[in-house]
Amino acid sequence: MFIQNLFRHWTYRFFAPGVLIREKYEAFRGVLEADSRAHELLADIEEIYISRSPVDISRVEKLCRELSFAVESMVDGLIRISPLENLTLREIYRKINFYLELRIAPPEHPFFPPFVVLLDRPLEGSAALVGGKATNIARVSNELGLPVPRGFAVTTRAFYYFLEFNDLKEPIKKALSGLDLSSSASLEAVSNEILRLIRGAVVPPAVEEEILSAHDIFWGEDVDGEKPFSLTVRSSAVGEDGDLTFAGQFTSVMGVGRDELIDAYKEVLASKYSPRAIDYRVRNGLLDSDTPMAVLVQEVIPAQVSGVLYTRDLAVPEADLSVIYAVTGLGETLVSGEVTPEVVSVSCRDGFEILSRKSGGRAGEIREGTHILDEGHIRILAGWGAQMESFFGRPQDVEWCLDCKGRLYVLQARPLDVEGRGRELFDRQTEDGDEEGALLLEGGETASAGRGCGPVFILDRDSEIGMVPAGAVLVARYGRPHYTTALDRIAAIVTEQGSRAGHLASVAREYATPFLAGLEGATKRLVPGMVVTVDATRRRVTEGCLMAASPSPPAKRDNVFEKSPFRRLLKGVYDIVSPLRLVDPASPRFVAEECRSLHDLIRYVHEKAVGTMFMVGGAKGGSSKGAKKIVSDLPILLYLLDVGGALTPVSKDSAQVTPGDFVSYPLRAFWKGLTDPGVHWSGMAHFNWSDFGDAVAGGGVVSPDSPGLASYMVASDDYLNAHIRFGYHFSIVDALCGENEGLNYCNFRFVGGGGRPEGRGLRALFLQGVLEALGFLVSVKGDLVDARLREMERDELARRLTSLGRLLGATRLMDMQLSSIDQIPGLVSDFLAGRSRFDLEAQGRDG
Amino acid sequence: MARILVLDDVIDAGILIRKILQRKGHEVAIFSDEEEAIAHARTNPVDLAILDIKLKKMTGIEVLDELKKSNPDMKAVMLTGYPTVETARQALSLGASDYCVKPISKDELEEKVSEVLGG
Repeated sequence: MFIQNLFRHWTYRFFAPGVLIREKYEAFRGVLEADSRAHELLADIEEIYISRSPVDISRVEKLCRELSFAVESMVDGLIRISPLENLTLREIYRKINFYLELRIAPPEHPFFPPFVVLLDRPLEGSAALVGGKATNIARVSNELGLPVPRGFAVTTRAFYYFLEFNDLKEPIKKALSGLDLSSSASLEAVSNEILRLIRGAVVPPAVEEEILSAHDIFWGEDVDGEKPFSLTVRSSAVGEDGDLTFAGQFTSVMGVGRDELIDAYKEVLASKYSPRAIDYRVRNGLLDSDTPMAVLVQEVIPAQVSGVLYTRDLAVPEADLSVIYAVTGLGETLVSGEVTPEVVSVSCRDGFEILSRKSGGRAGEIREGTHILDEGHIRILAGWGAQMESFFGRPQDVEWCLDCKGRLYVLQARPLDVEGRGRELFDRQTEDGDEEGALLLEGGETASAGRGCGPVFILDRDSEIGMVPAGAVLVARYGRPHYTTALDRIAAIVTEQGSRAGHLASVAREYATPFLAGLEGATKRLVPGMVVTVDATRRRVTEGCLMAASPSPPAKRDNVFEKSPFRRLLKGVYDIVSPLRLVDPASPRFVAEECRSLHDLIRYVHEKAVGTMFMVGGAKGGSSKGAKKIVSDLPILLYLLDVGGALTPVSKDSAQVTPGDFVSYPLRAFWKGLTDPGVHWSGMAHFNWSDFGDAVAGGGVVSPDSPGLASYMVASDDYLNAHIRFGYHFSIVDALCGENEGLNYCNFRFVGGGGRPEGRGLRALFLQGVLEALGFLVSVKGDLVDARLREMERDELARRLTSLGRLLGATRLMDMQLSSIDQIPGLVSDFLAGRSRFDLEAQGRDG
Repeated sequence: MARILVLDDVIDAGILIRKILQRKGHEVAIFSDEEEAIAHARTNPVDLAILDIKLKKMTGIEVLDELKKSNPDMKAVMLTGYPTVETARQALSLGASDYCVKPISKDELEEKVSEVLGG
């Protein structure tokens, strides 16, 4: 967007003939194009890291490869421009690229046998081989000696082999790299694409053979003993049933015979990529390649009674109580809620005494006093529960059944999530008795139950969602899907529109974030900063915070995501991509050997390419076609290349020009803003850099006699392209400002770098506010602000250019003093009213 | 202060590393021969080994494996001009703390060494 027009106005003929040939000019053009692309990619990666977006790692991998390619193009371009000065540059690029590759290259997974493991023999290192569910059931059987259904597991090796055999790894990664969790359409499309791939693939013959022979070992024609009436095939993913439950994420196929076994296996594999399962995995920061799918094949026990045993009562998790839920027949009716179960509470002390019993049955058919489970079975189950809890070292959620011959079986055992659900129950029980503050608002719809309190944050613009502080009550007009990115850190959300059926609501429920939707007048009645309690369950908002201080699940979830494999990997990538060490071109350390990150390389190559093209440092003097140094009061080194009618004819032959020589209309307008009397250019030395630690090594301004150069302008009578760099900040203005209104335009880009991420984000918001008020169409991506304006009358556009000039001066050090989003609206109006100083010194003076 | 062993088939590279690290107060023994380095580590305590991957008779990975046998607590930093993801992963799985690619600047070397010794 910035380069195209520049090169339309600026051709190689304007460089000193003989010194620069066309090839160098083309190389330089390539460097600038790649530089522009690299900055965009860098902003994409930084945004994923800083705003903690849940994306699949394949997206990061793709962005990194593209970024690395762009940087390589820059390096190659600079070597073509000046080969001798840059002998080691390619090696340095290769080294940084290798560090990046080492971090993003996907791990190799074994895909050789065993493809199938029988569950009735001890397994070594089994969780990685057969997943959590199969491991647990095998241990219950082999190590505790409890009865379980016979069966086998199809290993993760088989899963990896399935992917290799069908060449699915790359296409799955490609699909996942396009995933956008803020759009349910995107999630759906990505899932569909992968499901299509898996369903169209074949199970490798070696795997099929092992599955069928394992089947025949237990239930073959020539095997004596009971034949099962059917089989169940279910997921046993790695990571499932561990700290994260993946509750109900994957498919189980029931009633499977030998002939349907292979298809059922494939169906369970495919469920790893159902929309819900992908969403859950990515939001929890798990990697696709680290959560392979093993599959459990077991005989179905013809059950007369089935149920669930919790080895703790969730209402009072600290008490030694087990709770048994039982229904007649197979267990699905319990899970689906069709039937009310019989509930038995058992003490785990004193010989498993039965404390209470409540009868169950179908609605309308419940008769108190009738029981489907006798006391003997209850005691056996409670005893097994205690055994399993002590064996696994944590409370268990056990599925069991009783067959027609009166034999009990353990079907599944997994950790019981006492904390999350325990708190929910606790809240429900205590809320009615609480005192409350004054009622502020009432109504709406419970989109996600629960209560939360915190200071009100009113979202004015969708793009500000990244600025919502942790612990706030988010108040917005709409319930946009991308607000999900804030759900893991806020106390509650209130919207004027929206309902419990939306995507935001379903994610809020999963995150246990209270969400009150459709509450009219919320953005007007609630005041920013005011502490309120949102009771989404009872649909009311009250003043103050009367909830008992308790560690909230959002904080816990935050922690899970922050420590997840995805975030750890991303941090490693970020450290190689983003930190900028090379900030001061005047420093003796501004050399290729000091480059540690791709950002350093981008900065270095750009600086050197521009410097070489403008022949800086060489006392060329007097060249009529080269760039001219601008002599002015501004403490920045600035060169100007006149590509036709930008300067007075008398200045044509001098190496230096003054602003008095400017004829170019857009240049004069822009310069007027840069030199606005309100802009504070001097006094830089008074700024206390040491307060900002390592972020500042010499930024601010380029010293006037510095051999380095990054600021230059290319101008004609009606065109201006300015690359302005102050320390870390880098801006581009590209404008055509002539008589023909239809052709006129102005593009503006601002890239930060350095400074604290919060300050940078706030500064971007400030810029957005000002630019939008000036009529620009603005997009913000992390630290990169892009703004564009089209078809504007010449004088109008000139006024905008003056404002841009003033804006660059004003924002020079702004990120250093921004600390809160509340400052932004005031600062935007101050700027529009003519204020141009926002540095600390000015603030001290004002206060 | 740490006892550091440096093994590089180009003796000049070893000398340069020794110069840099001695200035930081470390005791540095340099070798260009694998067997001499291994023999040294058998009889002398070594806190950190800095190993080139491309050597004359063995690979740096093999030397790392060998050194770890006699000094299991020893830290190691691999240094190579010809990196591959495979050897890097191999080295890290054998207990190397870091895998560095040449050219490496003085600052970077000092940082890596202090990081590895500190952690």
